[in-house]
Amino acid sequence: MHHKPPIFFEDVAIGQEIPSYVRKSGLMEWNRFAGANEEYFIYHMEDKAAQAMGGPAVFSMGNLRFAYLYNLLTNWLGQDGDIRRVSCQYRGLHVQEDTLTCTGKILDKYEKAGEHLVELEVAIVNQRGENTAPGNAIVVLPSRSAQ
Amino acid sequence: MGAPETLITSEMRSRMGVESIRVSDPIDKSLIRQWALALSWPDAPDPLFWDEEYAKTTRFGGIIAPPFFNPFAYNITAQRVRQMAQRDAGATSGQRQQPAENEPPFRIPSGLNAGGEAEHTGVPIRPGDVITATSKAVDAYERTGRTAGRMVITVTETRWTNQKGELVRVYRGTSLRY
Repeated sequence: MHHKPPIFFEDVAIGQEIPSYVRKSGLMEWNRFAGANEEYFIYHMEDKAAQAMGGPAVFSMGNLRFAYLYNLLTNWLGQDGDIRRVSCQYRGLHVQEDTLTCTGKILDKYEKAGEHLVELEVAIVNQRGENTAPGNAIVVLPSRSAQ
Repeated sequence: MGAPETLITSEMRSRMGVESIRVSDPIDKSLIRQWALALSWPDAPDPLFWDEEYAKTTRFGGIIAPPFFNPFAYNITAQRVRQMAQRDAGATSGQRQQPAENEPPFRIPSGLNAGGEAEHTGVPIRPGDVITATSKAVDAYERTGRTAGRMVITVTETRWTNQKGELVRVYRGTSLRY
């Protein structure tokens, strides 16, 4: 993702989909994230505790879901673009062996206060086609006119 | 015993709009590296987040933290450790957390993260930065979910500023209690 050629504002179009970001996320990823974010909840570790809350089995941290949407955006933007806003709602739970496909589609592009902004609809779709994180993002892209 | 008229407790109401402030330790490069690795795993993280020589050659002029970095993960007070230990002691082997006296019987009294909205100003977090977080509850309302039934949704707004007084990030986080 580093030293990746910039994505220029002029080169993106409304309706365009950005490259997806796919993770098959399980305990190896969750535990590493729990360690970084001090997020040691029993329902992220033990099936019985997750089931007592009404879940099917041990499930992943919501913050990791958010992190994957940031990865979707930063992998696309490289170092020349910036994230201005990301939002999502968590729907349902991510359990082990789920395949999570993070997607983004360009809804709008415009200039505001000298910045070249792009609005996207983002989502995390599981292997059953369910959108588990509907959301939106606004990013800043470099412009060819500013070069 | 009938269903309570509202699940929004007096404790939730009393917290509305009340600001709390936390100040991070100076942010260490190795903490940024740990985060970058956890976020990208099993891919290697961008060297912008850990390789000073490389980062100097970028438009940032040095290492920055990934935009999702949280400098407060280990912002631990003795009181917070006691609360966490208490929470964890009651959470072994599938037991539910116990609600406090006179509180509605939530299955997850501490709340479940339900998502949120982050605004970034474009000011990155760098090694050595000290971040001040100002948080307040801004909303609380009830909803009925398909599987969880009646639930309370609370929204907390947190603003991060750095040691120069620059606004870095505003986050409005949503939490579910049911």
